[in-house]
Amino acid sequence: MSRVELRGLAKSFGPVQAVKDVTLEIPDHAFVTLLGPSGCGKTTTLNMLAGLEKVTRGEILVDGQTITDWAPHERGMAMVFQNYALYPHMDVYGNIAFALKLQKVPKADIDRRVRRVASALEVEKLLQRRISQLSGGQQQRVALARAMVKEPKVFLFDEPLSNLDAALRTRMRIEIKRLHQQLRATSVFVTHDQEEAMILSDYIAVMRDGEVVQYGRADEVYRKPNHIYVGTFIGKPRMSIMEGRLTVDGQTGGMAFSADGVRIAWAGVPGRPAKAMEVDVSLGIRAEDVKILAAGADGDGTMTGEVNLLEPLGSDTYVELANGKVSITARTEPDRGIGLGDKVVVQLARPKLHIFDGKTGARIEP
Amino acid sequence: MLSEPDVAAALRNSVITATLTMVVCLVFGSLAAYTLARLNMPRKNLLLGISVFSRMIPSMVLIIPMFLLMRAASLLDSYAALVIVYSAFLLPYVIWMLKNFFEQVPVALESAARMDGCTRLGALFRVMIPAAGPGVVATAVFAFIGAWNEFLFGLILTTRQVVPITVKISALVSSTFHSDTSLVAATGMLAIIPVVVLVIVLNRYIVRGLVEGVKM
Ligand SMILES: Nc1ncnc2c1ncn2[C@@H]1O[C@H](COP(=O)(O)OP(=O)(O)OP(=O)(O)O)[C@@H](O)[C@H]1O
Ligand SMILES: [Mg+2]
Repeated sequence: MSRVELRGLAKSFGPVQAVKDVTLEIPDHAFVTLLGPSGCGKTTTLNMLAGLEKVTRGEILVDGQTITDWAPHERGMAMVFQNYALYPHMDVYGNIAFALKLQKVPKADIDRRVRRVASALEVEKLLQRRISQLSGGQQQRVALARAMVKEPKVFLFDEPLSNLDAALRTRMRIEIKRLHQQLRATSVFVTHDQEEAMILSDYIAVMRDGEVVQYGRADEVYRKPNHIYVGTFIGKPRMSIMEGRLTVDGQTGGMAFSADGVRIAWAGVPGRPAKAMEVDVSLGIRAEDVKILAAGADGDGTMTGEVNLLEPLGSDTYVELANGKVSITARTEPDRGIGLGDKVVVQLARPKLHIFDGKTGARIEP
Repeated sequence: MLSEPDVAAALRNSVITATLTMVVCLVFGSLAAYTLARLNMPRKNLLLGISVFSRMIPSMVLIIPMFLLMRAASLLDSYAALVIVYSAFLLPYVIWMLKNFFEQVPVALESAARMDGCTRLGALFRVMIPAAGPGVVATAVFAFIGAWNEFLFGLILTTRQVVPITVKISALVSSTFHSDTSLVAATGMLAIIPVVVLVIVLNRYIVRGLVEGVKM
């Protein structure tokens, strides 16, 4: 239940710059995810926040107070680790009670608090078990209980679900979300799974090579990625990208994209002026924004392609179609009767396009 | 045979010396091993190399200087002399073994302990050492046996008070004109018993320690 600020955080391990410059403002009660591929510095950032790793540069503030040099246990934070990190030489009760014992909480209070979180996480029957006698899911619950019993101001999670099988992962994901809605404690969650990030988070910080590429509300990061890297990292299936040249007519506002013999044109919006430009771009569009039209249809932002892959999911079908080197994935209802090799017309609505600079990858708003 | 007062005393001496050596080795060994296993420190491997390298000097070479050193410190024929010398010789091995066991304890376990309120030192004693339990027990037994079996320094550095059992046995052979073979053999058996008992009792831990290193 605290506001957390990271200011220009950096960390080097000898010559390796694990984290270069991370600045985040995490509002009270927020659930924030650090999302990025392996090795981008998520764990290192989290460890600095926790006090487990000294910062090379930068500041950490909680509720306006600088805590950069505080010891881990003084920060009022609790962490759940990827491999749970339960103490193997203690039973479940001992694991959950450990922090309270170190705080010299009276025995009766410890017992009451341990039993309360144990029952909240449905592990009260396991209290006397050894850690080695627990399943992965049970260990996960105990790890959550151990973090919760401290009643921390901030919860930190380092890929806590990545060791669980798919079904259990989905269940624990919901459980963590529910816990957060109950406790409302500020949470920082590390993952490389964009779906997990979308489902859990209020805010997402997308990281690459020790830097935050975009930080914003989850829906905003999804709908308005500021970089091609963010656009393609978030969303399933992956955003379709077409490399080509984009021309905008300053007078009419009309826009045309051409690549490799493919040409897609959009009419201008009356009354809305546009900046004339002609640039190399990466044009992105998400599968759900690609509309499949009736055969032979024509219109604004249409192109023709040949279906070369069908991915039926039951609820939806993803259709991958190609025209020369340009390839696009579209989402459609399962019973459209589209077959491999069919020629189909798709429409890319202009407001749904993501236009990224061909060289820098940064978002362009024409 | 136990009524032979010297033999009983020698057994007691050996037990005390070996136990103290084991404790000293574990305390200093675990601190050194932890540093080498976990802390960011320049030239860690060089330090470890030097400590193990020190064992390449034959003890024979050191025996006279060690005698002179102990005499100068007025420590001859004392537990302190034996414990210091045995620990000095065993520590490189102990550090090396413990370092490997500690390295197998997941870093996150220690991080968890520090989040829960342990200092680094507290995390070492409350979490790392217990988690590396079987490995630590195996190392302790190794140090105990090493000290128990030592002969050379026991011979040179002791005269009457703290003569260890190994030296006593050989004294039984050489001191009498007609060596009492049965007494020598029986004392030898006796000398083996503590070690065998130790290994049998702790067998479970020793095997686990040697095989898997860390119980998880
Ligand atoms: N103790 C260390 N010593 C040296 N380099 C390190 C250390 N810890 C991390 N690194 C390096 O820093 C970079 C970032 O590591 P970090 O563990 O933060 O990545 P991550 O985003 O958590 O990755 P993953 O998803 O694989 O856990 C990596 O290149 C890693 O090799
Ligand atoms: Mg990580």
